[in-house]
Amino acid sequence: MVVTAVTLALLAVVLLGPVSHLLPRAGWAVAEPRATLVLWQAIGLSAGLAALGAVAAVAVAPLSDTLFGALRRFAERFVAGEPTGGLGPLHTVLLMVAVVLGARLLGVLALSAWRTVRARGRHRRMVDLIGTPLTADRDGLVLDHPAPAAYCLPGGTPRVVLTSGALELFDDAELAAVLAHERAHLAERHDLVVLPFAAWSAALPWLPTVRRSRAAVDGLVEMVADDRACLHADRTVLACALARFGTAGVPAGALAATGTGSVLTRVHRLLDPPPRSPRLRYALVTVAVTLLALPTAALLLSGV
Amino acid sequence: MARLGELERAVMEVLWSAPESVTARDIVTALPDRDLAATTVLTVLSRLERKDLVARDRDGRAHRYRPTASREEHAAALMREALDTAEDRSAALASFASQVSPGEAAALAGALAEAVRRRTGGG
Repeated sequence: MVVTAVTLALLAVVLLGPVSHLLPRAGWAVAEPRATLVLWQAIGLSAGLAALGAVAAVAVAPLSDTLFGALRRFAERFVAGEPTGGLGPLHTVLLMVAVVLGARLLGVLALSAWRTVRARGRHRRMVDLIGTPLTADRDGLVLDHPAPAAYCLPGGTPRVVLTSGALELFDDAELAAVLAHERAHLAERHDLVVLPFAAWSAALPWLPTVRRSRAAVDGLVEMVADDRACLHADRTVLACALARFGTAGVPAGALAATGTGSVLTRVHRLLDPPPRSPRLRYALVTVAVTLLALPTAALLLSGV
Repeated sequence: MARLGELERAVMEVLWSAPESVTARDIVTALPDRDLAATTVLTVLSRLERKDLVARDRDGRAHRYRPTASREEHAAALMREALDTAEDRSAALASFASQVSPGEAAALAGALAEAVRRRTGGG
């Protein structure tokens, strides 16, 4: 059990520390944004499970030599009317820490999902009320506002929203490319991909790596949407639209948002697409699967 | 529901284009091809009032209705909400592109020129 606990703790520390620090800087992520996104998801899940597992392993160590066996024994005793499961005070406190931490992570996620759905519904109803239909043959709503903006509202009744300022900025082909980009977000439910990273970066502001991972995931999601849009639109046209958008919307002051997944990177990527690498793709997915297998294995294997 | 939403739109259009506050009767007259009953309009108005889109003033025995904000003001509020990147306040998934810093904008202008050149050059 000591080995299990130490292994899990190490895994969590390595994932939340150096890995989350270095991965946003990896140049190859731009070549395979989709696989990199899968890797980020695996890192998040694996780090969370490992951290919780490490605390739980130390807590229930006296009960059995496998984490799974110990947890089962604890559950049996708990149900049989022994609230501490035969654990001493220190171990009981540790187990409670693990439970509270796990409940908090899930609770924050549920709360964030609920708030997002509510805010989105309210926003959508307002857009439906004051927006005007884009054109007869193109789905979308236009808000009368001079600042160029284009965004989507995912969900059961999705919407693509543009401002009149954005319509003035783009020619017809560019507009089609922008719409394809927003529809790609909707079709792939990128809001669900982003949700846990957004929720946990809000809940754990003292963990800078979580914030960094959120920024990286946001950028990757944009690149994936760019790629999918380019199945229907020309890469150069989308690059034009993106660059036009970026240069038009410069605020007077330095109101710059976080630089990751920057517009400039995306434009360069569209103009000179990095060669796709199936080998890198397989490697990333393999690492992702391994990361998920590690805490699962630690649950079942007996340690010394 | 879809019909009610559509009616709300039509009623708001009337309120926004009216120079001053109007009565429910005025709205019925302003939407002749819909053949609305005054009670229907009142229902819609009370829904809009609940959503803080419409305010009501008493004028003798009738009520006069006016929009709480112009269409432009609502659009500006929606824009602020959509571009607000605060964790769970943002209703929109993401804007097409995030705002760029002035330094990045200069580099972007160069990239735009290159993109336009390639597009028109048939490359």
